[in-house]
Amino acid sequence: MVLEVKNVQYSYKSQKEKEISKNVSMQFEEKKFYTIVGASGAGKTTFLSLLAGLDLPVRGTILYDGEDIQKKGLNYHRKHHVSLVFQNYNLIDYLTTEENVRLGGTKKPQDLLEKVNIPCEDWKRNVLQLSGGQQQRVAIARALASNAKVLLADEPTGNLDENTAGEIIELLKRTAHELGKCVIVVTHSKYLAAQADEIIMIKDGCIESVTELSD
Amino acid sequence: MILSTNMILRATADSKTAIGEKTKAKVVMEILKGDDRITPDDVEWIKDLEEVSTVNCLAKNDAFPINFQLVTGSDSTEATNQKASLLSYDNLENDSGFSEGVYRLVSGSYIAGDIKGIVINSYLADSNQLKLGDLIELENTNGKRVSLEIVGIFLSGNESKQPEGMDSVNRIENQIFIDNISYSDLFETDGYAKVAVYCKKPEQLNVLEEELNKYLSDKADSTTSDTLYQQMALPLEQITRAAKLMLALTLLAGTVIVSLLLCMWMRTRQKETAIFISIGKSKASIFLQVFMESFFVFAFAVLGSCCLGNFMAGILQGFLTESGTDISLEVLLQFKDIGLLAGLGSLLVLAAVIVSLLPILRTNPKETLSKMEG
Repeated sequence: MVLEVKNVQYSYKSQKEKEISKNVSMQFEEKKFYTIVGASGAGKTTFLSLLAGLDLPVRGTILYDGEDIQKKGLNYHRKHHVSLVFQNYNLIDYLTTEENVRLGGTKKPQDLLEKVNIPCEDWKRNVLQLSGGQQQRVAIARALASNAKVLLADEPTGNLDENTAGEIIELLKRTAHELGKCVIVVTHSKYLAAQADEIIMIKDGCIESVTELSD
Repeated sequence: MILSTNMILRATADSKTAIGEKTKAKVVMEILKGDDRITPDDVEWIKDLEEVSTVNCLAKNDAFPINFQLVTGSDSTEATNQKASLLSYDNLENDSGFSEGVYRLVSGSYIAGDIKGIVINSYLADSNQLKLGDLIELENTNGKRVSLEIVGIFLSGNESKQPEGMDSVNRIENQIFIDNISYSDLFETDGYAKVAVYCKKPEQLNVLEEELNKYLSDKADSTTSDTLYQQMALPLEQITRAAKLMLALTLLAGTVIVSLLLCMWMRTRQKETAIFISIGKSKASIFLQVFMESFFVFAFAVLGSCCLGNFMAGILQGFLTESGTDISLEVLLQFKDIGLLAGLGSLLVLAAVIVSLLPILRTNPKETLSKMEG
């Protein structure tokens, strides 16, 4: 396994008595596509933030390749172990498509943009001139630019229409199965969730169920 | 503002130093009893003091003329009517009647540095048909004779106003100025009756006087002379005080204004910063990036202010010196000013970047991005 969560508990600093994640344990493997589902406020995004090293658990540990992510620092973890895709794409609005992808890592942006089906005439354009679906694909290309084994996505299809969402889901699936990455996606979309290899159901900060889906 | 006030500060400091040198603040050490002497060893010790710029040693004695006649109106056969008065100096131009305007050199040179010999009165020269380069012979009370070359001729203007019956030794015409080496040779003595000690920095005059008094307290008394310096330095000190206040206020206001501007700028870059942190860029590199960007803007501002400062220098100089003071203030843009501006400005930019960026760097990027997403 590439990523392992062991007895993780999390609560906000301002509300220490209210636990957002309670004794969560889970293992994630490479070449697999995971979706995390649950009601609003169940703790899905918090769980993803903990995996991304954007937050620290109050108790428990998160291991990457068997090593505590805090050992080398969360910044190192974010830079080398995981890459992130957000619902709102979070691209740098004054840069071009290519420049945005280059921010993600050392891989050639042109190859990645080809991989995510961005036409080459858009590579030099300002990223804000692209459609929402294209921007999300650029965000995925940026995530693929690093050598991170884990790709974390928070509602990546939340702002997209059905067709475009389908394309993005396909792209994420390919990323897991063809590029051999561990893709973990937080979603509300039942359709997207159904595309995963494993569905993790979170309820009240706990993992209620893990469902393995076969092709 | 930093550049202008710094230019003023430096110009006033330079002027103060120049005034200090020109007004020649000094401590005069004079022996208390006639037979005491300030020895060459004492003088060497004085010269080694940190505050001392130069030393002018003075001595006085009488000698008999051998190959010339003294000017006298008295018939007295007393020794005082047979002798000339000899005054020795390291530098005749200072600490003498010449510096006070009582005497003026009509031909030749002052005794100073390598110029050794004697300076005699014009009347004495005329009455003995002596001219520059001639040698005259003098004898001390023990019979030791020394030949000396005339290097200068002086005039007082008061020669005719002296009483008729005055003894020769007291007459202006018979005053002979001599260098210290020849004086020691003639009187077979080394040591001085008076030493004028010039201070490098007039504001340290009291410290110097204290040191000299400690060292020579048993044989010499001190007097100081820096009134001219005090008078001339006063308006400069007022300018310095005002410029320092301006500099402090400019730095304070600059830090506040630049911090506020940067805070506004950083607010627009909050999301960008959060994205950078979330994709693993280190906070140090983000900080350096912002500092470099701000520093480049500052560098352009320095270039602009250098051009403006160069232009303003003349105007500032005119403004500062038009108030009727006799001070020559040279307000010029120098590399030192630019260096100081760069140094102070960089610190100011650094402080402003820290103030504006730190809260953003300390915020969890997840929170920032959540806020931005609404």
